[in-house]
Amino acid sequence: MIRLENVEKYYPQGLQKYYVLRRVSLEIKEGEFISIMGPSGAGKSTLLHILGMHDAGWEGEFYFGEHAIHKMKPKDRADVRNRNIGFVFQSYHLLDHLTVYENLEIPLSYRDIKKAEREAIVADVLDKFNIVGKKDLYPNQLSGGQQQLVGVARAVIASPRIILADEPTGNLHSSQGKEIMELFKRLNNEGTTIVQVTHSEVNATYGNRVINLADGWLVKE
Amino acid sequence: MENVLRDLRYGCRMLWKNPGYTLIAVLTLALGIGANAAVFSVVNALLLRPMPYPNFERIAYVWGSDAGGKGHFSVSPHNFVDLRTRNQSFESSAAFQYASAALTGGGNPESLSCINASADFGKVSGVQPLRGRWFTAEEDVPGKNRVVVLSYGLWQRRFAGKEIVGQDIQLNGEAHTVIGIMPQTFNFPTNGIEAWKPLALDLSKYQRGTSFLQLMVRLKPGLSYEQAQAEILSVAQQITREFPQQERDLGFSLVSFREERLGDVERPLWILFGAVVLVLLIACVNVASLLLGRATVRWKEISVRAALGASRWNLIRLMLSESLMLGLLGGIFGLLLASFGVEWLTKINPDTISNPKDISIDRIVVGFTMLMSVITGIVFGALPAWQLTKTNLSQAMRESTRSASGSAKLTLIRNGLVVLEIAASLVLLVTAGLLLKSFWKLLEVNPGFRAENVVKADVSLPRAKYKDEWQQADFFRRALESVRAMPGVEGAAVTTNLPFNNGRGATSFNIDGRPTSPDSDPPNADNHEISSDYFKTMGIPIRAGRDFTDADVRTSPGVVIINEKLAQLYWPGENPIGRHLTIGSPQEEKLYGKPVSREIVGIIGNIKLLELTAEFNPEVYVPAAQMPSSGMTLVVRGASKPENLTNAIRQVVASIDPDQPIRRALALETMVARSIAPQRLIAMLLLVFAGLAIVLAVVGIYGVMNYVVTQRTQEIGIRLALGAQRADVLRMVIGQGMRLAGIGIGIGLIASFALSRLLTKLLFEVSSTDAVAYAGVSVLLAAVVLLACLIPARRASKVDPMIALRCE
Repeated sequence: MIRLENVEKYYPQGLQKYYVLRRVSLEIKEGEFISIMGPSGAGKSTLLHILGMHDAGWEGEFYFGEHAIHKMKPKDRADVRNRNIGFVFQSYHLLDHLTVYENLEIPLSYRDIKKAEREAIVADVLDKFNIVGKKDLYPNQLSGGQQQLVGVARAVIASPRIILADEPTGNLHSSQGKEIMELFKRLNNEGTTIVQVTHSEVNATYGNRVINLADGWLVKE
Repeated sequence: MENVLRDLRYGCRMLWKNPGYTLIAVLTLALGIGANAAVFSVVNALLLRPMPYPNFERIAYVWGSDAGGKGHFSVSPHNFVDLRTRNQSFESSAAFQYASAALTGGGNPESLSCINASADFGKVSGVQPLRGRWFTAEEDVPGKNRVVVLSYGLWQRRFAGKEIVGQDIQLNGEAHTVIGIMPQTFNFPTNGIEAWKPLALDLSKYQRGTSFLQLMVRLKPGLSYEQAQAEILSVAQQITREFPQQERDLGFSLVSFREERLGDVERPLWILFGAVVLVLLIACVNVASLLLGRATVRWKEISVRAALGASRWNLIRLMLSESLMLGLLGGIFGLLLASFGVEWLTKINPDTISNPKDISIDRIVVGFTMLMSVITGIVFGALPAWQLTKTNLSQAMRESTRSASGSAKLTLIRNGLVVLEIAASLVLLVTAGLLLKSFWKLLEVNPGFRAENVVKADVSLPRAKYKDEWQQADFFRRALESVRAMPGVEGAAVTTNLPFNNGRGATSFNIDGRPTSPDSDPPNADNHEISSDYFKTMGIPIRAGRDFTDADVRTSPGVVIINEKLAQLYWPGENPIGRHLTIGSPQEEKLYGKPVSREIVGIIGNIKLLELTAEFNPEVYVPAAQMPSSGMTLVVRGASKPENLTNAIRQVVASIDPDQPIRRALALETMVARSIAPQRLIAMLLLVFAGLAIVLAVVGIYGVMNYVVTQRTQEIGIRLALGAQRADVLRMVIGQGMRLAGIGIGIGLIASFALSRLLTKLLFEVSSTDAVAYAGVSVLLAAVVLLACLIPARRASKVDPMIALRCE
């Protein structure tokens, strides 16, 4: 599904280069649940952003299915991303001035899905995530766990093939974190590929593969 | 469409949830848009709205001029006929004269403002009466001209809108048949005309060269002004060839009706409009700056949306929806402000605006304001939208917000906006400063007379009733006797040519013993027929010789008083007292059977006759007792409050002749003030707009500097921790603000200098590049910017290093 070949990212520092990622090559297969681990500054989040096509400033080769991402224009990359990738953020990043319903609707509206269809999809997801009763609440009326639940619901609403999650339980207490991880497991079992960045060994156990990074190098799998 | 509506809905919600920000932005925009809408309503009414005369662009004035087409003089009856019969350019042409007529019977006597016009006047206007008809050529002859067309206003006011066409009314003591009522919108050729009568010109009565008519024409369709001008000049050349003595250096100039009517107001209005556009620009800059300042808040949201799949266009549309909402709200409140503004404008200075009733917030103004609101929304929203949507998604996911809002590029843009704001404010301030200085100079002009406590009233005796000139003189003598006997009257006199009374009478004359060469024009001067005590009443100083006395009558030797200007022109370095000059007007020849040689008995100070800005003209004054006139202006100096005398004057006149009305009873001070009302209005409005600009600029600069301090709090904390003094921090923040002010003032000075020539025609005794005004305004603006920086700078200097560093 995803193949990286010698991907590197650096920041210029005078005449020198400060590398954040060095010659990273890896393959992610459809249906995998991968955890990226490593100490702070190892390049975990950077790798996730590159996989999510948020970051364009890197070198190397990146294939997503049949698409050679490294050769694509930004607009085409965005198109691939919108069709295939969902995101879950550590701080949920729900939009404060939108209700739960509206937060869920946003990714669909950016994919030119008609209103009636959007309503049906949102209703379905609200039901699936058991948050129908909260659809008219604003994020600040929800607990952290509930907010992240909405965050995950929002990530899956456009039926992505892969979900990228950056420390999805980082701001949650353990029971809430467990709930979210079980949700990821369930989504993975239903066929969605999941890549998460995590510091938690426990969370990593929900996945079937762990990638370790250190100083930008992929050290072991 | 659905997406747009959703974005608009979201925009509304964002504004609702941030009431402080919304209020400031909407208020700022409302001030800018409101000022624009108010001035546009005037521009629309006066300049853009088509005149209510069919094909008005073909209507023109023809003025007398020199052979080169330069000049702006009245036309002689002979030349009117020459032009009418000898050229192919006019579809119709009409001569006319402003006049007054005493309306009597069925109420108090009333003096009407009239036009006496030749038969084709209605055709030139292109407007048919609402009821009845215009006068015909058959009625435009002496003896058959007792017909009148009334204005709608007079018909309603005096005759309560009852059927009156075909009935007789008494005008100047003679029965006139009302043949037509004009529509309400008919103000031709100027406002305030209440009746139109046939001119009934008897050509045989006038010599060639006796000019007193105004001429209006309607050009044939498809003919250009250049073609018509060329043709009338060639007619003038023919006339000069045929009458080389009487019609020497004759020419005509064609001026469009629109230019004649709006020429004086067009430039000031466009300048005012430019000023309010600058105010709006400053308001836009402020709101754009405010939007950029919200980058910290919006950055996260914009990034999340982008991460969730929003394209850049989606994001720009979202942000523009919000700014559009702000623009529209600003427009709605702006319209509200404009409606107050228009009311104020028409109230404070009705004389400056020819037809205040026309100025209103109509559909066009509303449409313009809404369009402007949309454009405004896009203008101030576009830059922040463009800049904020350059998202770096990985930063969003890492929650790095400070770097986004404080990025070098955003800082540069915000600084650029401040510079723009200061530059625009300076242009406005320089314009206002120059016009204020010019107005100040105008106020300092000595008109040559003392206008305070003087009231005047025009009295026009109907010739049908007062056929004999000496009968007319007797009327005014009796009126003066009664007025002078009134309590509180310090002096009273009559004159035919009162300063600032919307008219002038000029005459040529010959200096006895100095024959005029046949190749040159005789000397010319403004002519006044006055009673004794005129100079005392008006406060005009007598420089040499004596005033007229009651002994200067018909049977005594002819006398004349001249002004200093005339004395300097024709007797430089000599004493003209005792010299003689001959005016020799047709009236004089009629009264005395020959031209009268008049002895110069006095020299008086120069006076301004029509405008404070005009040069002094040579003047001759003749005793009214020797040259009576049917139309005189009564001037009365009171001990105080001259307005109280108006009723008493009316009663005095009525006691002599109950059917005799007085017209335009006004304080002389009011008349002088009215002559500079346009300058006062434009200076005052520009001052208001410049004040508004400076307030907006201060708010904008304060906002930016405050934001800068917030952004640099940690840096300031570190600097203080490293040993910087409070004064260093103060200097640093103020220095940053003043650097921007310096650049803005520099750009503003260059722009003001480049635009200065637009102002040249509006300035009196002030150069459009007046160094004092430029320097003064620059210093003022710098001081204001300094003030705006002071509060943020003081806040910065009070940063606690411990707290600042802990924040991070």
